[in-house]
Amino acid sequence: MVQKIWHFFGSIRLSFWLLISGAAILVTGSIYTNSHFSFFRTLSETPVQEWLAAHLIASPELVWWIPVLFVIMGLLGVNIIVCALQRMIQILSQKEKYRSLQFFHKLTPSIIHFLFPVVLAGHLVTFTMGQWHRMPIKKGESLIISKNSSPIEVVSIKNHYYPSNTLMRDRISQTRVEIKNTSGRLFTLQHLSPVLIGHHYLFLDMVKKRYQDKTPKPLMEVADDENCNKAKDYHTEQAQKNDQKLLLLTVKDPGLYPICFGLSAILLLMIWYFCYPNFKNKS
Amino acid sequence: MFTTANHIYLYLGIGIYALAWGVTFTRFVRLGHVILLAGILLHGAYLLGRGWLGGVFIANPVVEGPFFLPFCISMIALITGYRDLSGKWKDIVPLAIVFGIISVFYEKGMIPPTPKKISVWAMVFFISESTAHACFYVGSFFAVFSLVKNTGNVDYKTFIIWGFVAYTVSQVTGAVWSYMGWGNTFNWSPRHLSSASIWMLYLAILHMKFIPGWAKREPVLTGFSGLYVFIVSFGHYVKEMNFPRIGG
Repeated sequence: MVQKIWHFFGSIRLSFWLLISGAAILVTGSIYTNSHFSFFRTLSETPVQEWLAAHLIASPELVWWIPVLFVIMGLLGVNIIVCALQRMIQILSQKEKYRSLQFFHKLTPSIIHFLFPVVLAGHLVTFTMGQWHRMPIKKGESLIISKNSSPIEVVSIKNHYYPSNTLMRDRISQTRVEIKNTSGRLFTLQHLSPVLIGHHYLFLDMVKKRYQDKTPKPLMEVADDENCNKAKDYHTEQAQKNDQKLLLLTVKDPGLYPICFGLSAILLLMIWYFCYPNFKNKS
Repeated sequence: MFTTANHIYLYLGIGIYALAWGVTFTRFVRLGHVILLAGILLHGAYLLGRGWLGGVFIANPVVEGPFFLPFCISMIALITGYRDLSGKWKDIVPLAIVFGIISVFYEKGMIPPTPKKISVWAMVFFISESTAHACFYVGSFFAVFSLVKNTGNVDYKTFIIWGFVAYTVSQVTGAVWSYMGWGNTFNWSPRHLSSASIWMLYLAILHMKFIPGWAKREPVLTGFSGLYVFIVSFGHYVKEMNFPRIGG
């Protein structure tokens, strides 16, 4: 029985069908998120178990694909580990045939396959244990990032605009926020330049007033004229100058480190795997 | 720049691709290859000019998918022809012409980028994504060709593998860009989800060679995959045609 399960999970055919199923579920999800953009936007900044607890019973017809996706990815993770183990056992049994570098080269694809579940696990940790908090920021205000951290002070906020003699006039090119912690150390925060304070990364975001009053209401369908294009939020039209609000996004993501480690290791190993035969032939 | 918002250079570039393809039917194949290079330079100049659509240089419209994709396909044809002048590169040029014609009908203006979209990571993402799509279309075309002609031609696999490498680069750089801008390596948005689905599809295709008895199914799925990439990617491009644009 155990052998049957082992062979089932070590099957390449299973890998193929899980990958195809995963692709099908992901594209299904993209269709749902496209037509209900606002509804799914909050999922990116909420632990998935909390989000599903609020929405799975209220709107099962919109969110059914999310648990299915997690099941498929879980099975894929098990399948990858079993396949890689089977291959590794096969190579280890032939260890005497190879010199050490050749042997490591043979083992490399299996090691790469072991790293994929590390990346998947990192994503799972992010989805379930990540913390995202948004707060408006104004010059001179003190902010508390988390319960155990000291307050930080917003020293200055400056928006940089594109030249006024271009079609990009009145549009923000960058925002520079200077913040100071209690020990007087100054940090500069900009879009695409997050700052790490304690265990939290700080990011900047900008919204325009029409979205600020919208709170997710699980039992009500959200109107979805919203999409991924946020150019309007950074356009400071004179009549709506006070409608823009700068937000601080604080992120604590324990899954980030396994994801970064896994992807970096995969990249390095793949370079080694494809370069070694060329190096060997030349020498 | 002299090519900024001057779409005649786009039309000329595509016209020169067509001329290059025509010349390859004569005995002057090398001349056709040189004409293709001229078309690429002209098309490249048009793309570079798009950077100034807003009056200040912004790289995003240079690598916008519908315009950058035919350039990538032409580059694949050029490189393939450089390696083997008598080989398959002549069959790749019509793909560049078809996608070039599609770009003629696309909205020419620039979607004003937010500060979060001005990033080296974003540029590498868009370049590697379009390169990958180009490889997938070429691979898919040759897979269908091998089925129709029953040649058992396996040349298409090289394009699929390189496409997958480029697409993996786009997934990684896209994740870095996403985290630096939005605090998440993966967002539950249509773009991220559909992008991941393409990556998983090609991962499945690449594993087919390890399944005994599935050799004949591989070109069928590879051929289908090109259509899938087209529907997914151009579905997003068509939606983006409705976004407010400036310049062009």
